[in-house]
Amino acid sequence: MPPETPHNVGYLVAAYVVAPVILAGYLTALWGRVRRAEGRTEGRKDGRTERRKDGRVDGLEGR
Amino acid sequence: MTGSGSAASSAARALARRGLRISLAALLGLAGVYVLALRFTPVELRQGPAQKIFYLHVPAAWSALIAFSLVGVTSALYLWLHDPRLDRFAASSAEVGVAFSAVMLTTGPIWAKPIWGTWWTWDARLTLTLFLFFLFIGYLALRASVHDPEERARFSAVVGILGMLLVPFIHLSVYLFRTLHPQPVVLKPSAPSLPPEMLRTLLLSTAVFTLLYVGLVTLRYALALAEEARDEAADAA
Amino acid sequence: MAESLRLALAVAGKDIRAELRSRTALLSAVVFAALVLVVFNFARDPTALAATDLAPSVLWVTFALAAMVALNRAFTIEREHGALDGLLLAPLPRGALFAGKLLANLAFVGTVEAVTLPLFVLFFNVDLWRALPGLIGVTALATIGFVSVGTIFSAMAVRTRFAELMLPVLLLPFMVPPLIGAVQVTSRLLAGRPLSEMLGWLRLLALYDVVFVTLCTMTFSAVVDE
Repeated sequence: MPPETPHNVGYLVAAYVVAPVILAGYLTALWGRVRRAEGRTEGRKDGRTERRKDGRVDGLEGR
Repeated sequence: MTGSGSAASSAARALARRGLRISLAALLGLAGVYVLALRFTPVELRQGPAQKIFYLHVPAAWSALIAFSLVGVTSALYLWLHDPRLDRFAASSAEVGVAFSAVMLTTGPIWAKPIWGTWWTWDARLTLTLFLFFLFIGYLALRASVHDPEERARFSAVVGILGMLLVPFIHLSVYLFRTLHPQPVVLKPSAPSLPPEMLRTLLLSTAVFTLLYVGLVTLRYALALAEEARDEAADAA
Repeated sequence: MAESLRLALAVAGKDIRAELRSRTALLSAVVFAALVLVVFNFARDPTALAATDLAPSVLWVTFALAAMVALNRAFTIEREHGALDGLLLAPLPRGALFAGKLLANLAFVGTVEAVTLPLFVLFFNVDLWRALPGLIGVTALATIGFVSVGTIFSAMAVRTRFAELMLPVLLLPFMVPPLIGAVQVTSRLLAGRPLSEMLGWLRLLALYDVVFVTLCTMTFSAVVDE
């Protein structure tokens, strides 16, 4: 028998959950931003100026 | 104006879809990596199952490294050529790099806790990656707070170049403290010191993470295009 | 070359005169540094940690924070009075302009450091006399490096929203190598260690200065020119 193999599956599971959550979460957010940017360009084709309902200007996102 | 604008936005549209497809394919590949790593790769005897975190941590670090190196290179090229594509790419790569660093900086401590017995240690490589992370958060914050696109590109290119040169200095200065981090096991002059099954899993995972980097950067680049088209339309209106 | 130097000195002289006329920024930076020292003294458990063990870190964190305050001020003044636009219209080589700004900031940060040092000796009761020449040297080496990066970043930061926040966020990572080196050298100086033990760190600090002063001089025009 080699030296005892530690039981630390919990850490393995944690890491294997965290990593795809971050990456898929980022992908989803990115896709959402793309859709929003595209939607607003479409709106302008009718010649109307579209404003976001809350009237805010994009901050951190998208720069 | 509307003609060129809509042509640009439809090109952005197509690029965004391509980026999404590549990213989704890469996530599917990640599922494959999980099967390979959990089912068909032996458990390391001394470290136990937690060693398999390595198959996510190292490829994530690899992608983050590529991302940040390319930010440095494209920043330098931007100051030379003033091509807006270079700036868009640098911005995309920086953001995607931050996402990969987040994976690296979370999986790292989760591995370190059972193996080293501590979540964090001020070892050279850990400190370096942490500061790289901060540096690029600063880079993105700067981009967010400059309004004029041309000025934003110049400022962030300067930060990108300075950041690239900062890396060896942080590494050197922190290296003079004793280092705990395992030495590189694949990219070193002698033959890789990893059993073939483990190496195979690692290489597949690295390929998948590289593909994911390509997909995410493509999508983020398309986002930059779409936003520019939107802003132009807003200016025209 | 001599012409550039003359122009740089003229730019620096203008800044220093403006500062001496008002003195508010200098005074507030010095008071700020003194306050940081006082806060540090109470942030330590006197039974667990001797003041001298902590001294090098306290000194350098204080220097770093005071330098940040000083740099933030430098270009804010320019912006408020629109002075930078005037300077940019003048037929000044950008390298000389940067050198002038750098010299003015160095004079400013150096003054704050020179006032902080006696306070530090007073509050922390360290015996400095033997180490003083070395300490002045290492302070100069470390300060030149991060003030040079700080000068270019503050020129950027004033043109952004949240300028006061942007400078520390951008500059702190760049302060890490000079600060680590300076703390290491300072603690060896205070312990009276031989020069050979500090040589590696001193080389690193000097290299940092050469690389970043050169790079900042080269990229400065990308920051200020439309």
